[in-house]
Amino acid sequence: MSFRFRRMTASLAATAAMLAVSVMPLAAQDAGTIQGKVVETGSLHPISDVQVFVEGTHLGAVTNAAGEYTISQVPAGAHTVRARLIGYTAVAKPATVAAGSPVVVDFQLSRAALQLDQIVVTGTAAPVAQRQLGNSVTTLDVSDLTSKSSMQNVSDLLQSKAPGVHLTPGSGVPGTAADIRIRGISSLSATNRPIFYIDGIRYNDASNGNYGPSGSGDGVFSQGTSALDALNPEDIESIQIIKGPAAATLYGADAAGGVIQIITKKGTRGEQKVRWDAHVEGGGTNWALPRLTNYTTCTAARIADTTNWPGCNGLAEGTVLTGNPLETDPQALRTGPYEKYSLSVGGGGPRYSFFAGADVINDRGVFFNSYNDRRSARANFSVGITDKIDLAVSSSFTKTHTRLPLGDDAASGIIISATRGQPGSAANDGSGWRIRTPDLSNQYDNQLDADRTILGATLNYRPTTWFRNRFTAGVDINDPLATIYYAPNSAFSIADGVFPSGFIAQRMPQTHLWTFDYAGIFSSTLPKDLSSEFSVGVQGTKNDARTVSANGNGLPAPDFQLVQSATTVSGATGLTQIASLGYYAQEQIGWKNRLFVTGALRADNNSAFGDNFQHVYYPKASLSYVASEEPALASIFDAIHADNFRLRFAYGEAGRAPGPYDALRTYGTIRVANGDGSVSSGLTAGSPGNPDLHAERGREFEGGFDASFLGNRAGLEFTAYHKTTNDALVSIGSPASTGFTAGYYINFAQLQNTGIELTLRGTPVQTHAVTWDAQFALSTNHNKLNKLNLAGTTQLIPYNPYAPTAYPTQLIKEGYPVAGFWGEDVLRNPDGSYALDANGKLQYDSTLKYVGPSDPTYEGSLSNTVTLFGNIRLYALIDFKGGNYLFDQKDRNRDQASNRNSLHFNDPAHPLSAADSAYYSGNATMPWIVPADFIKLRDVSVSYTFPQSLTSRLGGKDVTLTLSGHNLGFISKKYPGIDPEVNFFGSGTFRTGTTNFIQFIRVDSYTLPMLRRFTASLNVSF
Amino acid sequence: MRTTTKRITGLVAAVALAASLGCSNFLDVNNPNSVDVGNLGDTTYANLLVTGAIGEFQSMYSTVAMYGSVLSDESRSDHVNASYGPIDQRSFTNLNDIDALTYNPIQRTRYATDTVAARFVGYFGAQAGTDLRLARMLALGGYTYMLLGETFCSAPINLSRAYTPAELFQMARPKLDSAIAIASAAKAAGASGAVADSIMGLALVAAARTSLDLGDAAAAASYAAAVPDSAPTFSEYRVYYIEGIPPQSGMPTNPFWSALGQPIPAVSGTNVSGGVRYLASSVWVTVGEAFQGVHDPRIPMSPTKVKAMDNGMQYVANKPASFGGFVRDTGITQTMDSAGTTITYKEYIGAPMTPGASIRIASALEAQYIVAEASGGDASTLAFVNAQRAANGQGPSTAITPDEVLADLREQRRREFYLDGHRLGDLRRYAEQAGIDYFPTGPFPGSTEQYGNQQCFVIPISEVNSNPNL
Repeated sequence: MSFRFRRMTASLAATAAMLAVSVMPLAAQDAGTIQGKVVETGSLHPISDVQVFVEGTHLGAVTNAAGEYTISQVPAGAHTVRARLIGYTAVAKPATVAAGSPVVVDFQLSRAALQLDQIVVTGTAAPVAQRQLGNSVTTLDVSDLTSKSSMQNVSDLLQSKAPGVHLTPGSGVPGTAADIRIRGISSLSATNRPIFYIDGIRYNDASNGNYGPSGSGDGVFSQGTSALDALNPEDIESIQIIKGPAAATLYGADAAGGVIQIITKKGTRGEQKVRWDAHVEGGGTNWALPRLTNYTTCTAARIADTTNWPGCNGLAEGTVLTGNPLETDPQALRTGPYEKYSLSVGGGGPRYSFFAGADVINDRGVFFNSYNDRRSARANFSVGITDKIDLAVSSSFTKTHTRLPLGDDAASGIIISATRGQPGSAANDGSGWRIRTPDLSNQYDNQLDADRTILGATLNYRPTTWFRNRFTAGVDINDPLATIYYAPNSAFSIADGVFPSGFIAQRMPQTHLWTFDYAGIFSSTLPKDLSSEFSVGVQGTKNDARTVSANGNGLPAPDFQLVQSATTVSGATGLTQIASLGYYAQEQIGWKNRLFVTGALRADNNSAFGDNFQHVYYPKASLSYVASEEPALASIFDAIHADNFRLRFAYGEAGRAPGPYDALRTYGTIRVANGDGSVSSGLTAGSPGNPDLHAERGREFEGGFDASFLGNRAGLEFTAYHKTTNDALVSIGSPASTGFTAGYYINFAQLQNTGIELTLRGTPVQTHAVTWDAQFALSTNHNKLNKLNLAGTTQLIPYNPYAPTAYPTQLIKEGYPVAGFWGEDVLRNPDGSYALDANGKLQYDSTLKYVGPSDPTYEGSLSNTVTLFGNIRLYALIDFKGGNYLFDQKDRNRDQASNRNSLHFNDPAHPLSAADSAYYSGNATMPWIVPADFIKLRDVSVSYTFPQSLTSRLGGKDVTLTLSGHNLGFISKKYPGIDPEVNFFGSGTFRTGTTNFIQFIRVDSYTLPMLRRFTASLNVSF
Repeated sequence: MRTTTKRITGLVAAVALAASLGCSNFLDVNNPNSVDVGNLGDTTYANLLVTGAIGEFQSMYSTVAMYGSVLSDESRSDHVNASYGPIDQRSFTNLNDIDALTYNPIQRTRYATDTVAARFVGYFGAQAGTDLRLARMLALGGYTYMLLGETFCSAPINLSRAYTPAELFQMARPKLDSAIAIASAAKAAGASGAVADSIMGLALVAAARTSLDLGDAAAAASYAAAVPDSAPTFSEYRVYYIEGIPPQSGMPTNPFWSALGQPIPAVSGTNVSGGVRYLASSVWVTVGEAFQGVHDPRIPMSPTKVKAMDNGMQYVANKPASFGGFVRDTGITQTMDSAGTTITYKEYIGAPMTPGASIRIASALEAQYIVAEASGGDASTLAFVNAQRAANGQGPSTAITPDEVLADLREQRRREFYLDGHRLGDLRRYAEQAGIDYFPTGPFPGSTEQYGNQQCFVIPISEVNSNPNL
């Protein structure tokens, strides 16, 4: 633990202790206490974590595991007390408080499949009830998710939890980043990731800048690490997701890919007590999916070649040898230990609340040189300065330490060496390993340390009942250090051969992402049951990214691990800045709290816009109508047993800004050899620029309805959307005849996405003994490139290095899904058989054939939670995806001439014909573009909450024991390879703006599959 | 409380005011790693622009020479990346990455030399007529146009239509003529004579070579004859690179070093041949079939085959005659049995390639080759051929007819200029002007497929997509 982290943790602990001590009941002669218990309707089991608060004040409390709460310092008089919890219908009750005496107010909350009054803060100028929004919003109850299964980071929280949010994990290596898209591919050259906010502060989800784990230095095809995952899920209260331009207009020129807002825990004002939560979790991860077996057929030539094929010596011709070094070599794989410890404290006083937490995660991967460790600490504090002014401040510090193994197609990597192994060969002393043995591969040393500090403050000021102000400011500082090290003359360095005399490279890509946000809200009540809420706001973000890197080659001894110790050193620095500034105005008219019409306009400017382009304007309009509350329609909804029914429609626009300096035409430097061994610098063409460059314009229309039935025990949410991106940024190679060759952006293309999202949830059984909650989610997405608008071509090519240049596997082609798969096949007869030439050889078809999309066209999940006797909970999550394809390079490679170690080529029971043999080992890509559909058992857990009668003897602690499993296996899959969720180019999610469109590549090439994780955890609250 | 509220109100107002004032420059950002094109009118950038253009030429020349050697018969590709093989096989499309990697630097260099030359007129007016910096830009520019014509089937200039090689050669010559004139004027005006002679020599050789490409033998001979035939006036013009093993990132190094397996002297170890260790994962440019078994001191190579990137076993070239640090090996006598006959030959290993190996791009010797070629297969050509043979351990030529003499001249030329960026243009010239096709044909080694018939690189898709005149 570093000094800096210890200092931060100590500071936070001191703050928490000080706050805890200060939370003592403040006697007041004119105040009383409200207390009570909250139970679930039907089962009558107590409900914990319910927020109970006194309306019109800042006073409130959160229930404990026994469902009990106490609110002190409540002014004497009549009040309304409201109890609410995500997933339950909020209930309000009157209470009259007398000075010095307690009032008991108990609640029964009913499970609510639909919550029209849930508060939404994302995509709105001010917090509003969901019923006021014309667009869909998905809210994740993170406390519920973390209590059900093992959640390590934000990516875990988002996986298969929200319809329309598509997440590709990429690799099972701990600490590596997932690719995240919402409602399909909507940009060609800008990022397709949504933007993230944490408590209103723009949150960095970019690459942490690790060196690519593909051998020496910064390999192009590799896994990345994400700043997104430096957040402890135990610190998060909820996540709100808005999915496209229809909802994200107020976020402007960066929000076309959707917005994800993370809301952290803050304690409850007026709670008058301190609540500690401790979480201890332990377990392990392992490679549970099949490991490929290698085969060798002992031919006559191999039997005779005792030098290269000693394993065939003396065997009969045709004998098939098998081997699986991943299974048999104990140095190859391990069950990686997994530990997580977290401790948090929350509470509040009459005018303030606080939350402080810290966690430690040690996640050891299946490779011996792989791990991802995280230590984080958070302190949130809010205070009501006056009745009209309150201030909330938040701070967090995270320290992440990741070590990445050789991965994917790195020549010295374990997986490639194992799956290309040829049993019986002399390679690596006949061990079955093809290129390196694990004892060497495990010496590979690629590490990343990332320190993350986030500071934010929000000031709310309500000078009158009709005018509110909110001012938010903050900064997200990410301070990584990436290091790759080759020890001089080590066995690995010598075997790898690139840096036998030692090498070290270090890089520090620091970012400061600043946010300020002001909103002013004018509320008024108009005649004829109308209401008005007019909002204006200004938002600014500025990202300052600085990089310092240095390399040293030739190290004197393993003791020396700094660049200056090397015989040859070099260094570089970088600076990139981008700023955006937006203004908006919004008017919402409500009628009888059941019809809401909203219109808004946002104007944006950005430092990345060209000189000829100053502002972009994005309009928005939406309608929400709670039809079930319309008296004239009551009979209709009664007839269909609908408790709630809301129609909603939204139209909106949002954008994506170009890269920081893409609009500028500039000259850069070039180094020149003088002929005498010295070097000079000169100027040469750099960025071609485009003075007309501007933001993409995403337009989206969505419509749908929310309904609940059977006493709000069954709910249905349905949304259909149609999204287009106009003026999509296209990065193409500059026409070199102009003298500039760097990427060149133009606003040309048009894309579209259409689809539906459906969520069905309910509580089919609710008795005292058994409660069964179920949720089914389904989303579809159909993506198409409408127009490319490039002179002379109708297609662009995402670069797959494994495909023949003339026969790429993926194309960005007008009229087809972006980066859909296209295959090269051989000419065939009408009956499908090969059309051989006169020499009996295959003939390759020069025309590529469309196969299918690379992104799923459908995905969904089914989760079930069964609670027995109120304290035993069984949970299972099944998810599925499909309609998409993946290029299976690994199995293709095993069939090719240099390997031929697949069962395909060594199965005496099913020998391949000469034509089949040529087909599978030849240039044709078609056999290896394969469906990636799957159904997976993602999570299973069982929890037991110890009876209060038992835990009260231990000091009134709430204790829950949970056993959980993650990534348990495929229920079915069409994919013939190991894992269709892998992508050998995981870091492609961050590599936007290239002319190779590598963010769209989908290839399985020796990538570590998703790991299974079993853990046992103990949660204690007191 | 009211006071507090007023204070907060004031604070919010102040923050709002500050925010609105700050917004005026909130969008200002720094870009400290570049200079806006609009600022380049300042003469303080003149030398930096000249240096930059020279840097572009350095980077371009070795790249074009290397990929050109693969398309011609000099080298074969053993690269595992799918883009390389089709170049070697002479069967590729405008989607090929290597095609683009060849096209881009040559166009960048052309643009750099053209624009810097134009800026000099703007910077210095009439004084530019005696400025050796301008002369060098024109000489390098003309040379680049010549290479563009020799390497590509056609090429546009600044989004123009595609010009034929002949048109590109025609564009090259006036630039070279101007370079000669300005260098001469500068020398007369008192500028450095050595520098002026060097630039004039480069321009004269390039003009002669361009004239050969145009089929203008008389002009070729005229230009070549004007090249001084010895030092100190002019001996050769080289492009330079930086040594250092391994090279530092971003430094101008010769890419042949890496492509030849990052060779370093080694007595023993893996993949060692002739006292040189070749890193197998890096060996992808290997000696073409047509140059194996030549046994000429100008084409030194590994005495045995070594493992290449694709796991095949191949010969790897060491520094040939045009490369800095070339060692004229005396040779090791070897014998081999061929169909029952014992053949004695010399094995030349030379020196391994280094990152800083310079490349000779124009020389008095080349001028003599051009004079000989322009003269046809006459007695003077035969005498020149025999002189070259004698200098390199060969007996006199047995050629009798002019065609045989020219064939022997071509043989000497391919040995003298091995890997230095001449061969592709030579093969195209021989095919076009003499109807003699030396490009490899027939079965493509290591494959069941045949060689294609491409003889030049094509305009890449990135240009086609963006150039409205293509």
